[in-house]
Amino acid sequence: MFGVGKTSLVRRFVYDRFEDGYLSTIGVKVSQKLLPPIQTGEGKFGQFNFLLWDIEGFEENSPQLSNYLVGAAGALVVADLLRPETIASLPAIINRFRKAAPAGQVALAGNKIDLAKTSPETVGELERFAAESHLPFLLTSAKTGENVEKSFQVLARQIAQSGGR
Amino acid sequence: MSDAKRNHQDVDPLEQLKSILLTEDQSRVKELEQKIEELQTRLSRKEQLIATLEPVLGELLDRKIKHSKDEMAAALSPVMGAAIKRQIRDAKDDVVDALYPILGQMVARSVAEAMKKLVANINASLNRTFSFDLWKKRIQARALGVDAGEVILAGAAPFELQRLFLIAKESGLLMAYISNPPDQQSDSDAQVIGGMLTAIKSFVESAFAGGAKGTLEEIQHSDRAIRIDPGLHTYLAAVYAGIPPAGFDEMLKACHQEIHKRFHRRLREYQGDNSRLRGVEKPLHKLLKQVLKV
Repeated sequence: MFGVGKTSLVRRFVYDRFEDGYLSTIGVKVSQKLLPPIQTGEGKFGQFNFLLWDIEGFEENSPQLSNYLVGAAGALVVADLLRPETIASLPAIINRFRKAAPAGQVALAGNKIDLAKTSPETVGELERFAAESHLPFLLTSAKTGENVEKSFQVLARQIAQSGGR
Repeated sequence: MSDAKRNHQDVDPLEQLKSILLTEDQSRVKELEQKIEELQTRLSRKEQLIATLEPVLGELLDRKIKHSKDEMAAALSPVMGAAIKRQIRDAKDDVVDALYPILGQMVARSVAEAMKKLVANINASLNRTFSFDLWKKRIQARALGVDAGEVILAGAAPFELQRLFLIAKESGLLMAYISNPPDQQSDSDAQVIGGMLTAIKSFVESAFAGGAKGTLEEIQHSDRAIRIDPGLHTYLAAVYAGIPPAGFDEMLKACHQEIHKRFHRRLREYQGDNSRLRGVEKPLHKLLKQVLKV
């Protein structure tokens, strides 16, 4: 999805080496982040080294998108809380991811919470969708940093509990 | 006493004498004062000063440059860089138009220089026609099944294998990395490069395949290249400079096959845990040594 704040979210969080220009040329930019150790279950701890593929918005049928998703351990799917239509397109995106990476885990992020605090309807909509699809979600702000690292921790925990990487 | 007589007595005779003797001088002084004032005005008013200097300025610079070239260069050089930059910024098209005719010549000259060096290197090799070195190269060429000239050419543009990346095919995760000479590249750098390389490879393969299944085998940039050997679960990327020796692709493939042979199960089940791949660098180091020998 375009303009939901994925790139800003990643930039808040990672080790960057490449220009964002790659996003508009080949549609993806890879960066890396080593998370501090987190608790992944009762008495269990793990450390995660994320190789993050920030994927630009694609046409639904683009073969490139699937190529980039193949082999992924998880996806943090980001919606823009100021644009309800981005929440409506979440199911299609998640389906696409699950087809390309059947073992991959999914967590949701509702971004731009710093601006969306005054529109509880969209927040409620995301909450409902997350509950129906049994997916963990967090409200994030790339601008203030709120819940950015936490949302990646949530995804890491999902991956650990599924027995993945 | 009459009035006329009194007046006559009032006029100081000395003053009278002065007036008779100095009238001419006084008028000259006045005239000079006027001229000085006029000059002062010319110098202090910008417009008038410019009007005065303009007719001679060109000639003045011309003469100054002729007589003291070094001095002028020293005075102007600090502002030249800034002036050129500004000119490029303000009148880019004019600058391009002006440079275009000479750029081709510059490039041609630079290529000619590089070729000259290459020819000189080859000649130096050929001049040792009967030297032990050339005989060694001829035997080497025969053993590799290539022309002796090819071996000499490879020697003139030395080959350097700089980095090897072993990367998980689907996820783009970096399984092993070595460099020659060992570099300061951080682990993060190598990992991100491995990921980006996978993304670029995937992009090229899907965007230009046109329905056909194929793999990206080489990326070239200036004098460096990345040769990619695709495997079942991984791909091996070699970054090098110069002309690769004959048989380099086979060496790369053999190294990759050895890795697959020794680690095939762990490669297939790889989930990102590099501690399970201990020893995978060994064949990579072996390849590096093998290439250095050639």
